Amino acid sequence: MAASQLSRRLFVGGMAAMAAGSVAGCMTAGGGGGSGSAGGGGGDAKTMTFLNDLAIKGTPFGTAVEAYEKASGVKVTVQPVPSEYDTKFRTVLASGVPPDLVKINDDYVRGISKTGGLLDLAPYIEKDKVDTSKFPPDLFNFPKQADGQHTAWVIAHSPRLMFYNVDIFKEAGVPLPPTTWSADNWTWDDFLETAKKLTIPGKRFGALVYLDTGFEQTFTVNNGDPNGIYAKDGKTFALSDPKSAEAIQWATDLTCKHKVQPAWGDLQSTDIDLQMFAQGRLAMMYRQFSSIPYIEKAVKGITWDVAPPPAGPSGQLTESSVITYSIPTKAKNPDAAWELLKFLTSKEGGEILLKGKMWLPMDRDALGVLSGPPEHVQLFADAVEHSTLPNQTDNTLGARQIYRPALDAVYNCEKPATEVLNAVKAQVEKTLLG
Amino acid sequence: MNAVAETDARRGTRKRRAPRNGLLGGRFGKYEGFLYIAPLILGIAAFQLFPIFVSIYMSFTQWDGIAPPEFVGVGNYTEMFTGDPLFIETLRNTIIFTLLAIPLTTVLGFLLALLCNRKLRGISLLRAAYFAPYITNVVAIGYIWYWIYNPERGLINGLLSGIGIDGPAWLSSSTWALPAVVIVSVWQGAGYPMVIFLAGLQAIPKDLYEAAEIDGASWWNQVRRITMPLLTPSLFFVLVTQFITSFQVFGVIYIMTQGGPGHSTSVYIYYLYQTAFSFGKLGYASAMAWVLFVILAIVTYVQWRMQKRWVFYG
Repeated sequence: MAASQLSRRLFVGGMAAMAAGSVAGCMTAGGGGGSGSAGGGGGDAKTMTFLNDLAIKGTPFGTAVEAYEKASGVKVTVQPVPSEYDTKFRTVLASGVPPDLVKINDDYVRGISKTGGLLDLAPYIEKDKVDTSKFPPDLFNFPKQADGQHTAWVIAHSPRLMFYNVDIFKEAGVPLPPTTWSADNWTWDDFLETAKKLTIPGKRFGALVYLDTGFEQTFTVNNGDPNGIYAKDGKTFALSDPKSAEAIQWATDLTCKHKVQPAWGDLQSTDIDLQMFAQGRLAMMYRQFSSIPYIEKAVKGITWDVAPPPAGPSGQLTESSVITYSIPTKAKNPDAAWELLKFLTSKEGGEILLKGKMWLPMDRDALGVLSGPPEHVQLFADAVEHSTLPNQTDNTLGARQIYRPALDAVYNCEKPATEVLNAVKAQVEKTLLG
Repeated sequence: MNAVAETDARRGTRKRRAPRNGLLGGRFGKYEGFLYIAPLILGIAAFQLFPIFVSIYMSFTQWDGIAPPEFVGVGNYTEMFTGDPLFIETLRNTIIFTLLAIPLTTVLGFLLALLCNRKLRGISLLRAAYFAPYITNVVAIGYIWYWIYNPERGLINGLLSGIGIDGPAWLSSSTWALPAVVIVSVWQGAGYPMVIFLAGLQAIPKDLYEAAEIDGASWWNQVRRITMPLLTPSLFFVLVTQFITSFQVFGVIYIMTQGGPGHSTSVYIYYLYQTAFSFGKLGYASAMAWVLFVILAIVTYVQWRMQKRWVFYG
């Protein structure tokens, strides 16, 4: 029976080889036809696909996309991925058949750019002579890589300010925060004193700073560490520097020492801060511009406004979240994707986004439609002049996965910030190397 | 000689022809069976064997899923045990989780099986109720328990405050988060061993208990001397499967804690998932998957070899 067994082995081996061959064939056969330069990738010019982290129908963003479809005749198919977006994003890039446009976490831009997965937009910008002088320079240049490639496009931004309940201030007889970007009576010490006066133990907290991760960059820079979270080289974890750690500790002490801020453990439900604010259980909170629609809807019978963040010993800057999109190198229809990006940063596109108070537009000419509530909404537009952005690294997300969970011990009042941040420094820096 | 006898006489000398009613006749007839199983073999080769071999290869590379993989030899494996404290921490958490979850789930399953092994009205409903969590979607379970554990408005702390106890911030406390997740896992998983034990209990002959009762054996002695020895095959099966599932816990962690606070509930599979899809280190994640496979294979082998000492197959 030896001959028969040999035949069986040969047969099964042959089948496996065929299967492997076919799968390998599939793996190499995929891929789009991105050109990698301005000039089209061979896709159907009248349709484009778009991967986004949210469903856009019924949102100002959706309205802007519809306006683009109308103007261009291009049908945009949106693929919303409301949860685990970053996982899906990586998967579609790895698949070799990515959509024409992808929302990209701003922290990914540098790392993914290094893989060659993102199309350089510089030739498009040059070819279309885009007037970038109307854009905030910091935000426009944010996705620019060391080699000059422009691998992402910032379509909008969402600055952070201190939202506050005017009625609580009045009830407590506390002077209102400044209505301009001023440090007058609005230093960290003033802020703490204000928060103390607004706090009623067991009923109301005066302030909430450390829930929005944007506080990390803002408060450390304002405390005198110009690096913020990462040094300019993208390889050094600066959050463990003394000045930065001190800022983190200051924000945490609002809870652990002064009891004017909710406990970390009580803040783990989604949008709990917004709920507390709407219920009058929170007097001040550090939040993004994009929170306004929720507050407008949820806060009834309360007067609320915004103020700049309190001035630290070294400044009064704030971090804007940048809303970034990229065209994958292998996109089938990069030209249509580029036209959509251009439209979103045009005056028309920007006005649509701003009217819905979704984000602040890139084109400053579109800022004319900015209106309240809140009364001092203009502070958001002025935030561009008081902006700080975290330095880019090759693996910001990986670094965050290490230091942010470690910070739980600080926020839970178990360990000091200096100890925790120094303990993870080496591991974070190893991760930053990619 | 009649016709039958003639045929029988010829049988020893004449070769029988292969039937010609198959797809492949003649020389190829003997391969016809392979033709029938070819789709299955192709499927297994393409969707199981091929990915397995690719995964082995990838475990020796540095690969982010986008750029081409770069061969690094055993770098991923050495990194795991010498340069990645988070890997060690997640392995430790997984072992703690397993050591807590397996005994609790098994004991609770056994007690529920004893409880449900009675002839009572509505016992089927009771059995179904105990088994229901096991087949309930883990996302739903996660969210329900997330609310139960809520430090401010949760059920547990509400009950505790009723008796004057200030409950902990369950899922936000690095001390309580892992035990809290274990409780959920035990509550959800106990239905499975219960069903296995129930089947085992119902297979035990009744006359053994009758004889024991006649001899004056107490209920506890009957459990210890009859039930437990005869349930050891079920127990063995439960322990093997429970170990594998406990070591691969993911859903409850993913929904309820995302590995936090700190990394106190970060378990092996969750970290593997993060490594692959958050950090974009698919080569390293492949290596982690193979280390997990080796761990599970070794422990299962040891369990298998040890069964001779304590499993009683009647």
